[in-house]
Amino acid sequence: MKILNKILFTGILLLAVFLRIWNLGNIPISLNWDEVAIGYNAYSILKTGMDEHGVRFPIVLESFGDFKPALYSYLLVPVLMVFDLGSFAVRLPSAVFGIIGVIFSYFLTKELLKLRGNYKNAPIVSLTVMFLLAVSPWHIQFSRAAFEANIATTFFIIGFWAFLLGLKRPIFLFLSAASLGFSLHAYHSTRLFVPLFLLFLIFIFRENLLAYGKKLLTPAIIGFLFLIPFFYFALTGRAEMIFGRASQTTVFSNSKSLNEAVYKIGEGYLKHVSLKWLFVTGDNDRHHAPSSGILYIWELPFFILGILILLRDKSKFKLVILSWILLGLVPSSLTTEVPHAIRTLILIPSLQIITALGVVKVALTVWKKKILLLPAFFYILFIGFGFILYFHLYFYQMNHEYSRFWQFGYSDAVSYVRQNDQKYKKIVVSNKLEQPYIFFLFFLRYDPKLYLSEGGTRKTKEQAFGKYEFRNINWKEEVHDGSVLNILSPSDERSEPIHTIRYFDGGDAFIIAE
Amino acid sequence: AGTILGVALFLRLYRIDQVVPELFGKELEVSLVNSITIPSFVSHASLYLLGMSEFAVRLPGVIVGVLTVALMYYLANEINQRLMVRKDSFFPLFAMGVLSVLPWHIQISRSDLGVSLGLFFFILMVFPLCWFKQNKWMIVVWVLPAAAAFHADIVFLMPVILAVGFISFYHSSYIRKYWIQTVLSVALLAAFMMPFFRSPQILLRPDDQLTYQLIENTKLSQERVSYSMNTSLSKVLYLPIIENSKLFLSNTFSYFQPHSLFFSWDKDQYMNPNFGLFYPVDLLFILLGLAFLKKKKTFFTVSLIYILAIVLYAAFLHGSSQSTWLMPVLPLAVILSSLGFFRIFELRARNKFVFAFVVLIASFCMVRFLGIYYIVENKETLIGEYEEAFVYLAKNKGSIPVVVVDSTYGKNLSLYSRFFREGPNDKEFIYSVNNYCQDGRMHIMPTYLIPKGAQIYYISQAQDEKMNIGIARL
Repeated sequence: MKILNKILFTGILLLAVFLRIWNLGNIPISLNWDEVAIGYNAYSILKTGMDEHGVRFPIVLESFGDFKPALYSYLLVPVLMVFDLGSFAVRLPSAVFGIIGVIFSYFLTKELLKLRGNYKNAPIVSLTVMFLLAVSPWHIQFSRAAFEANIATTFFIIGFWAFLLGLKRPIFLFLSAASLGFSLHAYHSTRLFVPLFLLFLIFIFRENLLAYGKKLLTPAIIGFLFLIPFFYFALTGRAEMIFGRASQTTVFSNSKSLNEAVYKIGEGYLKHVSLKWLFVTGDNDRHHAPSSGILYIWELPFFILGILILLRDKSKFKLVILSWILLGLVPSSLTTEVPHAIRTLILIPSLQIITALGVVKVALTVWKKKILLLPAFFYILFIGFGFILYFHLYFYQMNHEYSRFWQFGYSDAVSYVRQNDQKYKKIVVSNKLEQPYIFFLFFLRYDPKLYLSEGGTRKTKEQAFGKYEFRNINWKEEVHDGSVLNILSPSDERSEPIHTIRYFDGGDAFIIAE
Repeated sequence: AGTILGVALFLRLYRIDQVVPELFGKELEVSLVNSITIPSFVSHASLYLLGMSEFAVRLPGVIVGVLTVALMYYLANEINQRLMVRKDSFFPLFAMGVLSVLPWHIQISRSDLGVSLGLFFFILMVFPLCWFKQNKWMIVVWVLPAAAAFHADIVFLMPVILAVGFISFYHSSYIRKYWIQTVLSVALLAAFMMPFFRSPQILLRPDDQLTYQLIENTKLSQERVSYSMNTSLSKVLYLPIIENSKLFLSNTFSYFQPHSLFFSWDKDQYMNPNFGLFYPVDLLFILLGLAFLKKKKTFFTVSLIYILAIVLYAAFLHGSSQSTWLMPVLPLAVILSSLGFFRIFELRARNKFVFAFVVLIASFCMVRFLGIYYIVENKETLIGEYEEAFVYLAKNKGSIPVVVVDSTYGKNLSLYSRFFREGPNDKEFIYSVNNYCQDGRMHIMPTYLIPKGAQIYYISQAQDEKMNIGIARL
């Protein structure tokens, strides 16, 4: 790397670190149920070697029936040796992997651009990709919360980069196999995407790979080792550990007929080809900042230009990028909630590469034809405005406007209960609050050993530990002699509350009543 | 061509009085309200000849729809000659076939006479434009169908303005040469456009939904500035125009969402949400058509500008995407789709497998549309329940005045009452659900509002009990 490149690389890296680590524990405002479940299971593994269900060193966390891949929790265990169980600690692995993803996006882009032959602008395009990923609303959103998809994406970026390097030096194929293998155990959608994409890569680069002969055996064995757990679950009649989550979300289980399912898949696939989703609105409110899409609006012209450049390309570069995008949409299209920014997170680098091609093309044209400098100056102002607006919306407004989407209030509810639990024999929490038991375990830092000795998490909707019960509350049939504290959802029937916890938008989050 | 026209007629006429189950307010307005417009004139004539029925209301649209399919043959023929797609008549036949089975055009032909007529005249307008240089009087002639198009429905005004722009740009020397015809043409067009000049707000006023969204944006901006302690930065960042620009962009992008266009247009009342405006397989055809058109640079550029202008204007006026406002793009889309279909058809000798596969998919899409649209999907609607009550009352009690308690929230129930009972304008007897009194008169109202002990004459048989409409004396 030339010195200027090194300086830019370091600058972008520092920017990525700042945007992912600054105020990590407080923005977003609260841990959501998945983050809390990952956090408490990691805590439980650290203290007992078992998850909340009492499974020793699990590969899949049954959690609340959504069968989370356990890799994130294992990555969290060493963090919990250093930091307290809390928001910052739970989110730190994701933030770190986000930063690693930004770094390796540079190297991956460089290797990919080599497929275009002697492309002289490779370093500048690679740096642009790195920058775009560093400031990407989509990537920041999922790097600042404990989303397994972010870990999977980074493993995929490293694995893909190593694969391309491995075409010249077979030693890198070991790293590729291991990293892609880890990505299979990091998130659900990579289990479908990575094998499909890998098969495609093997087909495209079959000549390079076949030339290695027996040298391919060891990487293949490494890759196979990562598949053993899947075979094990399938052969021992526990296929739900692999397909459990898929069966809950797939269109097949939510359609009346095969015909309808096929139609929905086609529709779902195309729902991702939406400029509105990408640049203006986003999807679920937990997946983007207020009034924002998952990409910047100013990226749109560069994105369109990048697509045109890509379509004119005649090298394998085009094939690889297009197949990445086309196959990357497959897992999400098979599910019901589409478009979906998490299930398609794997696509981020490919989209940023396309945008970067457009950015660099425009920048070089402007540089050559000085006449365009004035419009370029105004566009740079527009870009700057876009950054400031997004960062203000994310770091300042989001907590205020989106507290309810981030399941705000559990921490306060647990604090209130902790201060007052001496007065009550029993504390009953309504199941209308989403999976409240895991929030109470987490925020109480309830001893996992004690929890497991009490039976751990049951396979029913009702849970209990210590003096806490988590179940549906029928207000008329409950005991109201002052010995029971009820934590209720606003939709529960109740008498006069003794305390109310509110979202920042003023709506009721928790009702506490005797 | 005869077979295609027969298919077009069947698809537009079959179960016309039942699918779509309820008449839209706009259909009734055209049919019952006395106004000097082309659709109103046509509709009144139909009602006069055939009597007050859904069939009579919808038949003119069907006929115009079939005529449009026929016209598409000639339009495609003109384009074929200019783009040199193929020498024989296959291409125009393809275009006709594509339009005859197109879900978008079938549904509009069956439910919106104004837009159907507008489209017919709009396509008619293109011919004089194509023959511009062969006969100087075409400079004047094209104005007549153009005026008929935008007077049939306002959505065709923008295409006419664009046509003026394109003519001025591409034929400036020609129109200067024949300045007498040009002046005549401009005067004629200005005369026809006079009503819009008198009340330009018709062309620029955002619809209710967009107005609401703009007000909400202003509130949101104020809240954000206030939460940010009224800092100067926040006052700039949260200017309402920024949020409004995003809204405009979002509305614009909504028109380009492929899943809406090809799988599920769930944005307005005229389209069945189970289908797109096109069949899914049309996506492939349109992409292939675009790839072909790319080589014809002028046509490609003009098409692109035309589509963008239509969409931007529609997005500027509406809070959600409107299939009717996109209608001026339909002929172009049909041409593109036909070009693509034609390409696939040409493949059949070289690659039978691909051709067979595409035909299979296309057949599946069509069968699905026919099955769901005409047979399976015939949901009960609140207006349908009111209709039954009106019909019951007309049969059993004559045309006595009744109080109608309107629970439709926004539909013009007086028109429905007038249509189904063939009675006088009952506007004065219609009350909202929150504003009626028990005065001993006959009431048509939701059953959940009928008080206990009231004498009930009739209750509709909706599957969803909340939709049941009853007749009672309160």
